[in-house]
Amino acid sequence: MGDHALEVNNLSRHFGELIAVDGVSLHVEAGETYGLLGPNGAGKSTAISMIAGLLESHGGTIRIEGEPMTTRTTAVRSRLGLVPQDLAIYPDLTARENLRFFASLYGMGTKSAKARIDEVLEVIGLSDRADDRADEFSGGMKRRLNIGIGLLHHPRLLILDEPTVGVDPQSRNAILESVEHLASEGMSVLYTTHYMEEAERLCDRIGIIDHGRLMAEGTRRELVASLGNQDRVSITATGPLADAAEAFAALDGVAEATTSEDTITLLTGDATRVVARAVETADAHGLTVASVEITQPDLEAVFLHLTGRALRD
Amino acid sequence: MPPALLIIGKDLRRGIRNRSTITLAFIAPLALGFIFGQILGGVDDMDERITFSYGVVDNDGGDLGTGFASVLDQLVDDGLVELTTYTDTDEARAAVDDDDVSAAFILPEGLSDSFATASPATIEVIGNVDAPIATNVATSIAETFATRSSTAAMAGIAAAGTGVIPAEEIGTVAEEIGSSPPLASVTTVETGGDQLDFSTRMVAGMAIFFAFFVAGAAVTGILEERDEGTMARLLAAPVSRGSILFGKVSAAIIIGWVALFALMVASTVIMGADWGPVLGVLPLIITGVLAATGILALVGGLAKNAEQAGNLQSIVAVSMAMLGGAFGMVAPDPGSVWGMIAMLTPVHWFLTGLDELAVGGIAAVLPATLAMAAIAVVTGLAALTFSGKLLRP
Ligand SMILES: Nc1ncnc2c1ncn2[C@@H]1O[C@H](COP(=O)(O)OP(=O)(O)OP(=O)(O)O)[C@@H](O)[C@H]1O
Ligand SMILES: [Mg+2]
Repeated sequence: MGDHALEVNNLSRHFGELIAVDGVSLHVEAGETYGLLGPNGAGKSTAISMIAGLLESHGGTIRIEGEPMTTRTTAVRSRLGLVPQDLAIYPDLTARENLRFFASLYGMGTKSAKARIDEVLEVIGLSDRADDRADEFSGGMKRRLNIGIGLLHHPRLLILDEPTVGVDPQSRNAILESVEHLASEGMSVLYTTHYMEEAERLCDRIGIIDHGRLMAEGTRRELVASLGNQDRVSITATGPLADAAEAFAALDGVAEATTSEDTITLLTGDATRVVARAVETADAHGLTVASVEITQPDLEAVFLHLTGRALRD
Repeated sequence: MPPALLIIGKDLRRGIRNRSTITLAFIAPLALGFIFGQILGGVDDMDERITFSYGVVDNDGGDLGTGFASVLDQLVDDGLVELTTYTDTDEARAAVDDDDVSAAFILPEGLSDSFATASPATIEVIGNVDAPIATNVATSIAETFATRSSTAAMAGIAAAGTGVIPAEEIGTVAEEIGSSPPLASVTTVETGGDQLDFSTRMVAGMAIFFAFFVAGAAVTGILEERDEGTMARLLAAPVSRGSILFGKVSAAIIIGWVALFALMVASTVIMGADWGPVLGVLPLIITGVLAATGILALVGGLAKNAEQAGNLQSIVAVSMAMLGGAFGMVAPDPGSVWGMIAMLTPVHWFLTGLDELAVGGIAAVLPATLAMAAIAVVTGLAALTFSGKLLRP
């Protein structure tokens, strides 16, 4: 054992001249939720399609729990659950019929399928609409059914490709909650998104992808820390600000101090360590502090730093 | 259960649920065969015929309206229909409610324009609940006219694209094609004593013609799964690509078989058609559907999406049906080029097989059966080369 839920090595794929996925290596540990964060066209779906064995790769290897995955292998697929980015449900079948068909494709017996379908309907909040046709559902309900099909057969690794796109905030929250719930039950999850809040909320580790390349990888903390002295402490005060500037710059842990008419801004590696002494210093120099504000960098800033672009345009 | 069977089961369920499949596979050919048989067939038993009384409102006033009127006029001439013209929808509705007529056709404004651009328009049929059969026949007449006109409009647009017909005349062309087969065939068809009887031939021709549309689903069904996104799921499931392909194609074939068989039974029971001994008809039905599937899979494999495939397939189906004699037209001279091309169509062999069966008994269907099996194998194998292209998310 000790195999990772997913191990991807040097994965590549091009469409004609366009290199959609360019030497991506990553792994998802058992029980971990891994987020692939990147803007439109970054190559997330293309990578997912290869990982799920739908699309041929042009280089690299994929292993699911140690077993190689290609477009020709079938057995290993039962360990995977896929929630495609585009809706993938039969509109003229009911929610239950959709679930039943896919349960049977995954080799679930009639009895165990029946119980599991009820369970899944509960998780995705469609129990009372189970026998309505999917084409009568709202967009959010279709999305939820789309997710339900992916987790029917208790996959070891659940892959969700931007499952919350085009969903109202309430449904979105419900979706995020069910992903959290599944993760807490020990399912490994690979989650792609271009919403950094989702990646921050759900994922143990995050890979940042752009133009087909994995630019950086780590926990949210690690990624943010990689930016260096990027915490910002802004002190708004009255009094002789300019005279105090040097003292602020000399504080331990402060990389840079700038003063304007009524604000002193400190750049530091760890705002929490600096803030108390900064207020003391202000006091000592006869300043009256009106407010203190701490801003920590987020993944957006990390992305901006790595690519020179904003995550969403 | 093997995955291919699960896919077949799912597709059959959807096929049954989807009313257009049943209309296309069963109701339309039955109604069309019946009407054509009535119009073109036995003049002798005139008084045994049923007469339906219908109303019509022409809000269109264009080419298509005129075309539809001429179709109805023909039915009137044949004593099949009594027709009353109303000036507006309300008047027609009142006439239906008062039992003056069993049903009324409402041709919408802009019908001709909508066909000239091959976008859908609806001919509305107002029916009296107390006259379900008359209403059903009316619906079938309208649907058939719409199907034929849009196919013709498509062919017209294709022709306009090549410069054969100026685009502005497409509506007129569609109208002509939409209404012309009965006219043309009245003058050309003779019933021979040593053949299948005429109305059976009409129904059988319609049956194999519509079997093409059903068989086309072998490929359009796969393309639809792609359009619906569900192909990604099928491919992600622990199921081989071979099973997916086999399941999808088999479902279309089975629906084709069932539809043809049901048409044989229904036309025998309802219209007194005589297809010949069942044991002789079955091999023709089996290989006929296989051959149609192979041909349409080959054509459909060239298309990018389900809609494009459907259009290509319609053109091929109509051409083959005409060449093969499905609309009661006289088959081209076997020695001519057209005659030789006709020999490549399952429609020709299907009807020839039934003719032979009527004359020579069960063993006589062998040549036609083998010919259709050969068409099925050759086109099917060729179509397989597209399978890699088709089985993609
Ligand atoms: N079948 C295809 N043929 C040609 N190009 C493709 C194909 N699929 C994807 N691409 C291209 O590959 C690149 C990556 O696309 P991909 O769908 O993987 O991006 P993504 O990160 O999933 O984006 P989004 O957030 O918009 O879903 C894009 O430039 C896209 O145009
Ligand atoms: Mg995508």
